Amino acid sequence: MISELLINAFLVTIMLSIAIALIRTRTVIFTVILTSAYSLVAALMFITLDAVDVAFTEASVGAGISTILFLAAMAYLPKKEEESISSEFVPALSCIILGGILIWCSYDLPEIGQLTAPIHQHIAPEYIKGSKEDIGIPNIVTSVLASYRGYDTFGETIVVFTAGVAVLALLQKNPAKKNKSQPKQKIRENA
Amino acid sequence: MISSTIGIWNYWIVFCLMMIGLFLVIGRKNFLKKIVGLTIFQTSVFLLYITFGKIKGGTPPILNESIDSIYSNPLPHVLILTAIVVGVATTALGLSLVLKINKEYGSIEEDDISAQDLVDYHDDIETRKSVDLKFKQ
Amino acid sequence: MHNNPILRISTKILFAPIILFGLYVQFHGDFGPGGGFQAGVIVASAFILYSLVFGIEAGKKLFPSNINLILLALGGIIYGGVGIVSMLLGDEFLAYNILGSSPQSGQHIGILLVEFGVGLTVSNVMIALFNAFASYDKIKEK
Repeated sequence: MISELLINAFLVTIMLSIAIALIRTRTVIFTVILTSAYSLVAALMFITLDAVDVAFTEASVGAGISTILFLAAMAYLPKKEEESISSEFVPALSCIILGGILIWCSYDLPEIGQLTAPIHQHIAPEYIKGSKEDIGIPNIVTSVLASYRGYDTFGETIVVFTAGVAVLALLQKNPAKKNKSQPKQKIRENA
Repeated sequence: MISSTIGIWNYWIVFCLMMIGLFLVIGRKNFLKKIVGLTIFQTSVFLLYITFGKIKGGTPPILNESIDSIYSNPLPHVLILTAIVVGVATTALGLSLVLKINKEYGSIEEDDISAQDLVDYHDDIETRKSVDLKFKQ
Repeated sequence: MHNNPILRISTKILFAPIILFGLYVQFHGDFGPGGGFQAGVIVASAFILYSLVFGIEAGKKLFPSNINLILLALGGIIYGGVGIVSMLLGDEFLAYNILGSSPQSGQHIGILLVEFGVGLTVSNVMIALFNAFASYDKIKEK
């Protein structure tokens, strides 16, 4: 049992170091590749935490498609991040204080893997039992996703659909719009 | 002592990752970096949820033949599974907004953009004043 | 990338197995890890690989964007349609028990259709996103 937790702690520390590298780097390509690596290590974490479906999704979506989209967007953007003029002291301090409070609160959280934790008492046992008896599908995640929580998934599908349509609407070439913005330009030139 | 520290070590690191994501969002002025920060924050929240669902000695929540096996909690898995896909869709939306901003302003640095906006604002006021003067005459 | 024989040939070899793997993940989601979300992304990645190697125009010729847009909406309609059908048959929205001869077979049919709808929407959204980003015109330097 302790080895499982050690692997966990090791992977999560790798994630921390990748995140620190992300703060330090100013080159956009490194940022994108480090984000991809971060997602991939997160997928490994999910496997050690018994979430195989989530790991599958994270590896294909987070490390795959997300990186491709970042790379595609990167082609149109400046390649270097500029050093900021204003000081980063206040944001850093507020993040450190908030993080300290959260860590202080973490002593009230149940230890990882306790069967007596509140989350395991509520409805999960019913899902595990019902997946065998009512639905007859071995993968409990699928049965909860599509049947018990079908409304949720319907909403999420519509959100994905809406986001796709919104991106298409934003990035479409629209020649009619260019003419519209011209009058404002003219006023400014006259003035 | 050591085992209890390892028992909540995950939480500590997850909170650190969250704060790094938050810092990238509020501290950095580059919009692409802000979106990367959102991704970092998102993934750390996913990790927190999945950590809650883990049971010691449990197996992945796929039913098997043996009767006395313990399954990890499937509910967080379901929530996070859908959240990941929605997350990439919203990230793409943010990226497209950044592309639009870059097209309009020629920069994705917050300082540049607010400076340009300030100049535009003063220009607008002057334009309006001159139009008003013409109108009065 | 258009003239690199290794990339071209390996893409041609890999294209069909990736889609086959996507279909396996889609329809094996009831028994192992997988489901509509993952399968959609895997199928989309095959088309994205094709577009990356052979160019965005060839990718659009392989999978026209008007078909892409229709399928994008069709996935959501299939999902909602399953709910409406179960309502018309006399049960609640998205209650699959009534779809089959027994509650369990009804659940199987419902979950299969719903996951198919999810996969269709997700894969087409991902392809549409990639196409939108890749064919976005270059900015004019100010």
